[in-house]
Parts: sequence; structure tokens; C-alpha cells
Amino acid sequence: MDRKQEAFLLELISDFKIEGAEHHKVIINGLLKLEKYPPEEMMKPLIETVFREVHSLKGAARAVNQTDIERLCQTIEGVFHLAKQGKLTFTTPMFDILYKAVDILGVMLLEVEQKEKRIGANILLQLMKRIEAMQRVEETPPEVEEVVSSGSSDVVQNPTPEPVPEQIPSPPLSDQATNNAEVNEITDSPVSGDTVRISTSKLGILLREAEEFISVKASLGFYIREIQKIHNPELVPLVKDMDRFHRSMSRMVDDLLLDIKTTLLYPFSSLLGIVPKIVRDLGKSHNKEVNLSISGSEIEIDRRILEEIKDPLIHLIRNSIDHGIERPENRKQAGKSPAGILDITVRQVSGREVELHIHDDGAGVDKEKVIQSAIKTGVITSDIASKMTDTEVFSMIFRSGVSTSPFITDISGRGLGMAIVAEKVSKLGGSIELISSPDKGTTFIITLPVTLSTFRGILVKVSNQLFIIPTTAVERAVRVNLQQIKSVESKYIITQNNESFALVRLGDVLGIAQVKIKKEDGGLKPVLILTIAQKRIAFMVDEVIGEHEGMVKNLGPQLIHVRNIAGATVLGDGRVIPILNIQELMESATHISYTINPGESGIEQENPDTNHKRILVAEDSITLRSLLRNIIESSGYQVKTAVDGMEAFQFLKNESFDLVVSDVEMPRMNGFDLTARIRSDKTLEETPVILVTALDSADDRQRGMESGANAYIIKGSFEQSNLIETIHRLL
Amino acid sequence: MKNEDQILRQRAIKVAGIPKETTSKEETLRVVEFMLIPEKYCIDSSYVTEVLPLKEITTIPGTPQFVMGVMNARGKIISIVNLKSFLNLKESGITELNKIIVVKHGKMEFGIVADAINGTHELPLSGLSPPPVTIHGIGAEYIKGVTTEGLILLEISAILSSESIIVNQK
Repeated sequence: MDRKQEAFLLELISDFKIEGAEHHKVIINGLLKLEKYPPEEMMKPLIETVFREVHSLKGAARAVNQTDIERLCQTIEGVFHLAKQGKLTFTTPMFDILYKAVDILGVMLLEVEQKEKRIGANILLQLMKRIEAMQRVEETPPEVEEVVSSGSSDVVQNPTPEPVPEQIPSPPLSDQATNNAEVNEITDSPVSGDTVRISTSKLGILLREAEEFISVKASLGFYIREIQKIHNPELVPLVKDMDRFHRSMSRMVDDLLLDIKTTLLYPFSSLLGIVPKIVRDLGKSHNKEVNLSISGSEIEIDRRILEEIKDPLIHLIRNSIDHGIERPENRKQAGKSPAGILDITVRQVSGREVELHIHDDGAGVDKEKVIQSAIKTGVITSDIASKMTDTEVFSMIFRSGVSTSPFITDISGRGLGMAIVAEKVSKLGGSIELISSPDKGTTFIITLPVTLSTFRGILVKVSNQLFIIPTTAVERAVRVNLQQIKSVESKYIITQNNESFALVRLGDVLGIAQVKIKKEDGGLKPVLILTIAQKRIAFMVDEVIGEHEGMVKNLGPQLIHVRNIAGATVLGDGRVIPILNIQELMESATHISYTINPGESGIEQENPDTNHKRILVAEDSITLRSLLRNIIESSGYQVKTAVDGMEAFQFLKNESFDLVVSDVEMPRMNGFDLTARIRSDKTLEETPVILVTALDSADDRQRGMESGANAYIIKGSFEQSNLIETIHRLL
Repeated sequence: MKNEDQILRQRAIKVAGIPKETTSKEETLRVVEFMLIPEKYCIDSSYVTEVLPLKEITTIPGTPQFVMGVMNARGKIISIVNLKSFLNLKESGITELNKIIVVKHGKMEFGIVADAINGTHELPLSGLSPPPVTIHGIGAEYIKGVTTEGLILLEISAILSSESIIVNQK
């Protein structure tokens, strides 16, 4: 147990060393730039940067009990705090002291794990005294500052009398740093330990490559399952071995991926660094005083999540300042201090989850306003509203169109922002909740995964096409009896557990042809209830196939954004499946309206003539196969396809078809042979056959007729109506 | 080892030939020729990255007619364009369209579908005449010229950098 704790501490310390080195570098570079006395508009952000870096280093040092570093940072921070307020002007001797201090910081950072320290308490104390003395500089007459102008002197006369202790051991940087003429940018980290700098783009490539293994893993699993279907006793031991190998490989892939993901972790500080300025600017423009506090910024998370969470965070901060924190006069009336509190806290909940709290001590969310806004936008009825709990009321904030603000300002009040925040968070695999009490304030709690997980989705079939719906968007999957579907004006409604949902057919939303269902299906159709930003719509599909885990890929540079489609993923067998974009899908779904004939309750309209007719299409070209399928299906027939004559004949033996459409030139068995086989088979001989071919000679035509085909269509003069007419004629 | 080298060298000398004279110093372009039945087309081969058989295609609902869908090329997803419909060429019957020519220019990359690949060769640029009047519509700007044999040279770089080939339904 002790050893474990010790190891944990060591790990923390080594993390601190790396982080410290980063801050140290930025501080030095900041000092270097500052010493060139840039114009004021550049000076300010530089001072801000150095201040923030010193502050972060202080926080990090405190977290690992490095009190000396913490204290030194504290004093340096003090100097920059004054400089920020414009109460202190830097002079060359001051830079000298600051460089010394930063050098010493560098040495201390190098020595964090060592028991024997080169920097004694005495040196530190003297140094800190001198830095503190700098902060009293405002009280000294300004002339004194100008007296000291021979900057390169190592011995500083002013503003403090103590000389720089000569016994300070200098790290290699020291000599250069004090002589600014030789120093431009310091790019090397003073920590020479066992770390290597790698650009994040290289890490990104490593991650992508490791992620590719997921599909390898999935493919292997797929082939093993396929082989298992072959019942051959000789295969049994082999399959067992393969299965074992697959399992150990899966474990290795998972481990590799996890390890690479940990290298992509990045502290929240990189994101939260921008917050103070935003808060200050917003406070100013709203005439509100805001005291900001940030904690836990050293906690790490996948940098891709950090990038994605930036906008939602800014939105919530704006929301707190705009809607939450009251004006100073109103605060005084409510018995609060004039300055509002905005507290941003990052907390590590577990190894896999992080919480981001954004708390303000403002007026809180007005429940009544939320309810009224929700009723106005039609999200709820006043009947339902009276029965809602606080949590339920507050959760409506995340719905599109609900807002508490009577004014639409440039930053909030449209009621859209929160819906977008909620969506973004859920896209990252996280969740958001709101706690609020009148006059006490509001807290948003965002729970985020530490690393971006691979994508999980539900595989569904619509019109013979497969799609994937992100699992996070699926509230539940149910089977609905067509008789239970009600129609209200131009919408269909289903009721599940006393809740009503608008029902649409996924195929209609995507604009693809629907395959009509047969009565024999028992009238039960699979329906997925999808939810996003508290909005719920039921989507009817033809079939729910199962769950799939994989990587999200984009559709390539040509298809930048296709409506309703978020990207694609690759199945174990190599098939590409489009991933649906739930937000857009929900929007598209609200525009669907059905023409409902009076007296009709079911959603499906059936065509009694063609519904039961089944047509087999044999064609080796994928393009032609799907073209023929689409043409024939859109006329209301059911279609099954075969890749060649041999497969077609097998299908014909096992299932019943009303007509065959076949290509002539196919591998294994061509169209002529297929026709001949059909004609010579007792059970099949009556089946009409249409041959579709590129061959256009009298001989071929003759051969086609001889083999027993009922019709012969030339590809070169093919027309859609032609084929359908021929099918109609033969059936 | 040495023996092998010798054999290989001898063999190399045997099969080596003087490159065919390309009608003296005339300017030529190395092209990939393909069929879009009934027409023969060719494109600058330097934009072609590979040729693939079309085995499986996933249609993407909501895309324009000229986007046939996407395919999986060793884990990478490539969109497939039907030039016939992008260039507004007259559709004549149905064809097999089972070959993919992957073209790339800068960041843009997609596959164009063809009925057959006829191979690569040097095309003398002087023999080109402007597109015949019969090929007009939007497509004309993407046609560089036609040979006397009726082979149509497409300006693939213009197609690759065309705004209208990009699907961005924001």
C-alpha cells in the first residue's frame, strides 16, 4: 500500500516536472520579450501571459507539495500582478532580479525529486526579499529608476540594497539570460529528464494508426464467425485457436489504444487560460463586477475534447455573466457583495470521467420564465408544467427555443445556445446538468470522458440500405404494431409508456424509396426513439440489425457536408456504412408531413398488385445490380439480387420468385445457361426470364430466344420504362 | 549471386528497346484512356493515383446525381463521381461502370467511374481540335479537345478544382 502511494507520488512529481518545464519556458520567453520594452498594447498580453504561467506553476507546485517553488512563484506573481494593474514599470535591474529568480526556479524544477538541493533556504529567502522589494518600487521616487540604466551589471543597486547572492549555482541558462543581447528565444526545456518532445500531429498519426486496428479486430472477428458457420470437424480446433488468438489480439489492441490515448492528455489550464480575459471583458461590457476563481486546471483530458469544449464553456460563462450575476446595485439590495462570484472547477471524478463545474452566485434560473417560454414554444403544455419537478423544468433549458431572457442580446437569449451546448457535450460522450436555486446562483455541471471513445452505433436497414445511428442518440428501440399508429393532422403519433412521439419513416426523412412491408410480418415494425437536446422523435426502420463499434471517418474531400450524414464507418467485412447526423435528421424529420387519407390508421399503404411479387436480379456488375434493383423496387416489387447465374440458380431452388431479370455475360454461369437451367427444371420452367445484355447481334438474340428467354433487352437502348413495361407484361 | 546479376543484365539488354519516336519533338501528354460507353475519354495521367475495380458501393442519400456513392479503398473512404452526369453527357442505355480511376489534385481526391480502362499512352497535343458542337452544356468547359479518332481529352485538373463538384450542404 505504502509502496503504491509512493509510486503514485513519484508519478505526480514527474508529471509536475514536465508541466513545470513548460511553464518555465514560457516565463523565460515572456521575460525576454518584455525586456525589449515593446509598445504597450503588446506589453499587456505579455505581462498577462507571464503572470498566468507563474500562477499556474504555483498551483502545480502546491499540488505536489513543492512549497519552496510555490513561495517563489507567489512572490514573482506579486510583481506581475502589480505590473498588470499598471502600478509597476519594469526596469533593467528588475529584469536582472527576475531572471535570477527564474534561473533558480529552473534549478529547483530540475531537483524536485532530489533530497540534496543546491538552492538553500537562505538563498531563496534573500531572493524573495529582493523581489518583494521590487513591489514597493512605486513608493520610491521615479528618478531612482532612471539612475540605474547600465543594465548588464550583475550587481543591482536598486531598488534593494542587498546584492544578489553570489553563491547561487547557475544552471547553463543563467549566463545567457542575464545578458539579454545574446538571448533570443529559449527553446530547450531545462528539464533534461526522460521526456521527449513529440509534435501533436505525430501523436495524432499514431492514434489514427492504432485506431485502424479496431477495424482489423472487427474484421478478424467477422471472419472467425463466418468460418464457424462451416461445419467441418477438421476446422474446429483451428477455429478455436483463431478465436483465442483473436481474443488476445483484441486485448493488445485495446491496451495499445489506451496507452496512446493517455499520451494525448492535456491539462485544462490550456483551455482555462483564456477565461480570465473573457470574464473581464464581459464584466466590463455588462457593467458587472465579477470575481473569477479557477481550480483544478492541472487535471488532464484528451486534447481533442478540450478543443471541442471551448465554445460550450465560453457560452456558459457568457450565460452566467449575462443572465446569472446581477448588477452591483441589485446585488447590494439582495444583501450580496457587489462583485459576483464566478467559479470554474475541474474535478477528476474517476479515472475515466472529469467534471467541469461552472458556478455563479447570481439570481438563479427563473423557473417560471422557463416554464412560460417552454409553453410558448410548444415544448410542454401548462398541464404538464404543473406536475414537473425542478430538475425537469431546468432540463428544458437545453431544448431549442427555450430561453429565460426577455431580450435577445448579442450573446444570449435566443434559446439556441443551450441546445447547442447540450448537443456538443453529448457528442463528446458527456452529459450536462443544471442546479439552480433562487438568489443563490446557478451551477452547470458538465461530465466529460477523459478520452474520446470509439464510436458505437445501432445498425439499421432501410430500403435495403444500411445506416448507423449513434448509440448515444437512441433512447430505446421498440416494436410497434401498425394498428397502434395514430394520425394527427399530417403527422403520425405513437404512444409508449404514456408518452407520445411523432413518428416518421427513416426512409422518408432520407428521401430514399421505401420497401413496402407485407401483412405477414404481423404488422410489427421496429421503431427507434431518438433523442437529442431533449427533443424526441420516433423513426421507423425496416430492420434493426445490431450494434457496431468502429471509427468515424469522413466521406472524403469532395463530400464535405451531406445533409443528415455525419460520416461513415467500415464494417468488419469492409462495407462502408453512413453514420446519421442526429441533429440534422431531427430537423429534417420535423419537415416531413404525410398525406393521410381519412379513415386510414396505418402508416403503410400497400399496393395489392405488386406487393407480393418477387423478382430475382442476376447481374455481376455492382452498379448495374443496384440500378436494376432500384428501378424495379421503385415500381413496388420485391427484389433479391444474385452476383452470377450460379448464385441465382441456387436462390431459385430455395426460394420462390415470380420473374428473373438476368445479365448475359456473367462468371461461373452466364445468362443463357441460367435460362436453359430454369427451362429444364420442373418446378421453375414457368418462371419468366428477361435477359439484359450488351450483346446486340442477331445471333445473340437468336441464342437468347432459343435458351427460352421471354424478353431480350439491349443495354445500349435501355430505358427504365421499357424494363418495367416488360415486367408488367410478363406477370 | 553474380550469375543472377549477369542473367538479369543480359535479359534487360535483350528486352530493352529504343523508346518509340513520339512523332519527333512534338509536345505530348501522358494520358489514361478509359471508356464511358459509347465514348472514349482520356485524362492527364499525372492526376491519376490508382485504378481500382468497383466491387461494393455505398450510396449516400441526399447527394447530387453525379455522386454515385462512396467506396472503401483499404480503409480510406473515397467518393465516386459519375462524369457522365457531372458533365451533362447524354446517357445512353445502361453500362457496367465497374472500374474506378482515383484522381487527386492538392487536397481534392475522388474516384471517377468508367466502363473500361484502355491503358496509358502519349497523346500528341497538336492533333487536338476544339470540342465539337455536339458536346455542350456545362461540360464543355471541362473538355480540352478531341483527337481525330474521337478520343476526348478531359481537363481533369479543372474538374478536380471545380466548385460545383464539391458537396457542402451546410
